[in-house]
Amino acid sequence: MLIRNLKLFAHFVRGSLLAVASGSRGYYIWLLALGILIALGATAYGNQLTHGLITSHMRDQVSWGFYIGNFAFLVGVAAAAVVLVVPAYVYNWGPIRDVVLIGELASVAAIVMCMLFVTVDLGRPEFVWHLMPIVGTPNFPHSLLTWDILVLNLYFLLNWFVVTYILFTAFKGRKYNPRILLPIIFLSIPFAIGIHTVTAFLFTGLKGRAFWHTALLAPRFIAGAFCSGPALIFLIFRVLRKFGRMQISDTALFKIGELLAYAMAINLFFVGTEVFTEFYAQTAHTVHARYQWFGLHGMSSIAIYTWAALCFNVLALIIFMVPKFRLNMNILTLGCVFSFSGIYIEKGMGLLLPGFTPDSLGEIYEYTPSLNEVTVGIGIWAVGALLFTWMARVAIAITAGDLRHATVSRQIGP
Amino acid sequence: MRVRVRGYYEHKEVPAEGKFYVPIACQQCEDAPCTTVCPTGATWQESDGIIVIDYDWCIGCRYCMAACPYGARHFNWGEPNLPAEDVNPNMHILGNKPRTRGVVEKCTFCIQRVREGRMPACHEACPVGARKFGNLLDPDSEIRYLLDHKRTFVLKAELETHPKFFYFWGTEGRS
Ligand code: SF4
Ligand code: SF4
Repeated sequence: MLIRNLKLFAHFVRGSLLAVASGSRGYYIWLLALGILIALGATAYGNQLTHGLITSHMRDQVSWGFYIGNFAFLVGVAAAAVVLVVPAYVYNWGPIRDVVLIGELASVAAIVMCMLFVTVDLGRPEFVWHLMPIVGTPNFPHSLLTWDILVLNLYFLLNWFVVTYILFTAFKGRKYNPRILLPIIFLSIPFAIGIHTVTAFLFTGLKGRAFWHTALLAPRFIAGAFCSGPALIFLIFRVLRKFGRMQISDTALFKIGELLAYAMAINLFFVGTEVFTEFYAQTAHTVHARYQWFGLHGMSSIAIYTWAALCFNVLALIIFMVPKFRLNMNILTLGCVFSFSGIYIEKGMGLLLPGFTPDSLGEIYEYTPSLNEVTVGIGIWAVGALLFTWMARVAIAITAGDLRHATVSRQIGP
Repeated sequence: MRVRVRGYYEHKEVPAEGKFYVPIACQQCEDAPCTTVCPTGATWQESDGIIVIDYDWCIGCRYCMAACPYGARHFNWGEPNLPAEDVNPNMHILGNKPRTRGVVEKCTFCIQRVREGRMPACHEACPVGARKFGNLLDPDSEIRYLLDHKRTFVLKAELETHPKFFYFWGTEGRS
């Protein structure tokens, strides 16, 4: 039995490799484009390894920047993509399996990107094993960073298991066993909330940084994640429906729009409560919010992004709320683009930089990422996109029935 | 919070008109937020109270820099370029040994000196004797006398990090 399954699994891997290796011309062009971006990113990272993080614009005053901003944002994407499973299940959106699959695949890709962003941020990545158990000395449970690494890895394993299990059973031509699958899927939901809460606590737990030391940070993280994750899944679904022979009903897509309306309303409500608390009864700590919204002493490179994010989010909310817009596929797509970009600014660097500016001694260092940092970041996004493309290709080939044990054995021999 | 616009010291002569000087170093907090957050346990409090970093174990994640409320930690963003002839051969592994690129460092109260019963370098260098250093647990020490008889304060007391770095008014008329 085990031997047979192992053999089947080897076939499954070979079949998957065949599926990612072949495709239309458009597919190859896409791969080539991603490959170029990854190569550029790798070169930039090589440059960083040679000269140190001085190639970034981070300095002692703003000691985290573009990398950790992207990390915080992507944890949200990883979390929310899976949460879509709940409505998919409750509302019984046609093939729930497909919704789950794409959500989990997006999560897996997002977590890989998260880990890459944290790794490139390290001053000495070659010693990353110092925080692993047994070989290293993880400061668990005191350091929230060890918690974050733990939950992210567990979450990664959960998602990876679900995806592999669904695909492998389909590959064998059987139906998945809901008694194995559903409990794990439902377990991954509290985990999804968990990874994002722990990531928020990473910041909330710093009492010296007034801007983050607020109980609202974790709820705001979650609310933001529910705006960016489903928006991304929506966009992925639209692309896959066009190019990838993926079956997904309009109703399901419109339902995502409806969900986004709630999420964005809550998110903007949180923004409002925070703005009120900061500005109505100002204290010395309001200085960070003032920098965020208006800049200080004429130094305001970040303020324009804060307002842009607000505009994007408000526009997205209008689109999600008004039925005439929400039920128009193209306008809804635009709303999702707004929602995704608005949250990217707000939950990425928009959250990070004001926490460091002015710094703990009152100094203002205006941070904008260096070209090298951005190039590394683009490379990581390209890795995520490539990973997702390959996984989705296998998934679709299997769920559409093209990739089955029977067909693979015919192609590659027993 | 007073906002300093230009970070670096720009006056030709001191004291400059309208300025008030507050030198800052690592506050050697009794409840140090920087050590709690370190994911690898590369930084800790020694039994004599000094907060130290193992420069060989630090991975350069800079979480401790985000946690420190006093801007006391500094990262080696580039390759350190101290000329070999300027390196002090009297070193301590947790103190002034040369740090590599990619790790965090901070003031260690000159651990390589004070463990030998000498004063920290800043204390020795200060031309007006504005710095005092000593054993807080020794009731007869000068530092204990100052704490008991002068008006002293610590920075950001509300954070309850309990610094062991105090500020006091030394001039009689103003104390
Ligand atoms: S001042 Fe900063 S670096 Fe020094 S002990 Fe306190 S928290 Fe740690
Ligand atoms: S930078 Fe080094 S000392 Fe600071 S938290 Fe990270 S591993 Fe610990």
